[in-house]
Amino acid sequence: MSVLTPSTVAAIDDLELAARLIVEGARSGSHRSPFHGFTAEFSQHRPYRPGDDLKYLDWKLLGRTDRLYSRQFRETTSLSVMLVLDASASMQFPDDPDVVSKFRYAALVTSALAYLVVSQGDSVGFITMQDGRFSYLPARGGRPHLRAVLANISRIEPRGAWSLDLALTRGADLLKRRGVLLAVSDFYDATDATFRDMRRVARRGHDVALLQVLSKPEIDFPYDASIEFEDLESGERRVIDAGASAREYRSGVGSFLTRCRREAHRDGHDYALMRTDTAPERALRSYLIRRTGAADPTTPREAR
Amino acid sequence: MFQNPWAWLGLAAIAAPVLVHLLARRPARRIPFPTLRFLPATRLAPIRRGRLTDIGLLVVRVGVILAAVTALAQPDWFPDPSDRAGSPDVARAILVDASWSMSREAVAGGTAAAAANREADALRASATTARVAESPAPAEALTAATNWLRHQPMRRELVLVSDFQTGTIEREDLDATPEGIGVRLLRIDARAPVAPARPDPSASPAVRLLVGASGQRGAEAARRAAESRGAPARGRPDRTVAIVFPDFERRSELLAATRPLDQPWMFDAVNRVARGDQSHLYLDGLTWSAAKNEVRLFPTVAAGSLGSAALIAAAARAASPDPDPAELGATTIADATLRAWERPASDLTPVVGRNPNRFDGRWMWGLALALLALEALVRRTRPSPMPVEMSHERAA
Repeated sequence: MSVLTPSTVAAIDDLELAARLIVEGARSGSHRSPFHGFTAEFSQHRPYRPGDDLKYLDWKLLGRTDRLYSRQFRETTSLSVMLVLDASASMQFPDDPDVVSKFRYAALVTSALAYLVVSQGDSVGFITMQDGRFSYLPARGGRPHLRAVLANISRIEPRGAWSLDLALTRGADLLKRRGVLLAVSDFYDATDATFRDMRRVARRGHDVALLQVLSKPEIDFPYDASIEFEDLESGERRVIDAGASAREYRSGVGSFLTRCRREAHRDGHDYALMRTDTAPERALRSYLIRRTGAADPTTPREAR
Repeated sequence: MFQNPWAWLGLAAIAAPVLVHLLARRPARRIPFPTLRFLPATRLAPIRRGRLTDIGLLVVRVGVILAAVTALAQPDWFPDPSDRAGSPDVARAILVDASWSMSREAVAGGTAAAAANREADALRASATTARVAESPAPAEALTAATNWLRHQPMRRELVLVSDFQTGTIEREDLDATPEGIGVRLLRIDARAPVAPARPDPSASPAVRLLVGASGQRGAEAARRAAESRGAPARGRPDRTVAIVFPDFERRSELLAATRPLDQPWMFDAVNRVARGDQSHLYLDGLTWSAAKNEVRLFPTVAAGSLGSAALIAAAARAASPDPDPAELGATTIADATLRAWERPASDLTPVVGRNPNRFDGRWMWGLALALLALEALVRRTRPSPMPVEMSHERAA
């Protein structure tokens, strides 16, 4: 399997094409779809009655038994997935044209998930929040809707701050029935209230998944000497001796990641950490395999 | 070692970049970062004012100044041996006076011209490279000799071999010679002048007129007119001037068979004719060339014109054995004057025509430029600066 590097995928302007490439790369493994929804399912035969639609007539049975039977189906519904994308300024990092930013990476992953869901015949919705205003598309299926979602994503320029709690709650409201709420963010804004809201959403029957996107410098902190760091969201500046502070920083980030993962697992949410230096289709594939395993009741709990 | 050692004073300029690097405030990089929540606010980088910053950049900048100062000092690390004091190499331009007075008998025997030529040969043999030129007017030949010497990458000397009759050369003529070129004035002592022998009446005519049948009468008339104006009728057998008039049948054949002038007397003759000599008549369209002992003049004037009479008169005087009155004079330039006019061949750097391999400073200029480019590159690759003090204030 050829692995697309983050920079290669990020260089593809056509978001649909990039999403398709990622999904095809992620699908190449032998795993079942993680988003199996509800398709039309055969229920039983019953004797044909005048007025029945001939398209439901079982012609094969007629040929074998010379009797008229109509096929009956059980009413089914499709899965709805609401994608919550963090478009705050903190996602615009690293601000380097040669490196994939967190937002671009998150947009690619979100697009790939939308593509995947729609290509399975399910519904996908999208929501983000910028400058206190929501931008969303309700969950629907079909190619035209997928293109609308992708166009929406590709138009977003990360800026300002956002409220993860509000976005999650609003996204859950947009799901008319039970569905999957998938949040792609760095979760720097996550607070106790955020996890509380997630639990509330999950109690309403939704499946909540957290995809935490972080870049390599944020985790490894490869800086040295005196550096003035500027907060992308608040604009606050702070000069520190980066070399001397590196250990403390890494420790803080490690604790934060551990807390995010622990909170997610404790509440039964899916959680995956995605580093922007990992090929997106590989990260997505790894996540989907784990999700499939988690959804399979035959999989031992320890393996999840 | 260095042609301009005072330039080393410029090394004081090295203090400038050192001070800049000592006093300049160390810039801090600014990096936009997703969150400051994990960055401790209290850890500030200490600043030591007494420490040089950006040592690499400082070294490059000091290198630029060092290379420039060295180049200004004009190093001479690999000098041309020919430029060295005491070097035996010398380029010598030898001018031999070929005026009439040099045909007098020399004190040492033979003619003065022969003695001058012997001296010239000896001087040429002792020089690394030499060029000998004969001229009846040495002062006029100085420029050509000097021009040749200017391009010789060694000690240079101009030697004039003459009897130094008064008027042969003047102080002003020698002053025009560039500094650094030595001047030597070598006198050939000649005996007192004797009155020239009158030409043998049976000697060849001074001027031969080559004219077609139609121009014969006109040519004769012109000759008579010239003689009536004092043009000598007879000349020396070895100095003949032929005037080829336009209607001469073999004119084009003669023109094709001619060759460049190569004897001083030929130049002399042509000059006199071209100038019209005493008559100051300038003849347009005069073409001349040389055959054996003969200067051929190809004028455009017709044989019977006034111009042809003047031409015949001038040509007759040019071919006449009678010397100029000035050449008959016995007055010569005093030895003391000649010694005062002389100057030695310079051992110092030539003023012009310097050997390009001699100046090694050009490599230093090249190095300075390369270092400047490196300095610009280093400056550009550094992160955008921001004074730390400002950062501290904001952090505070």
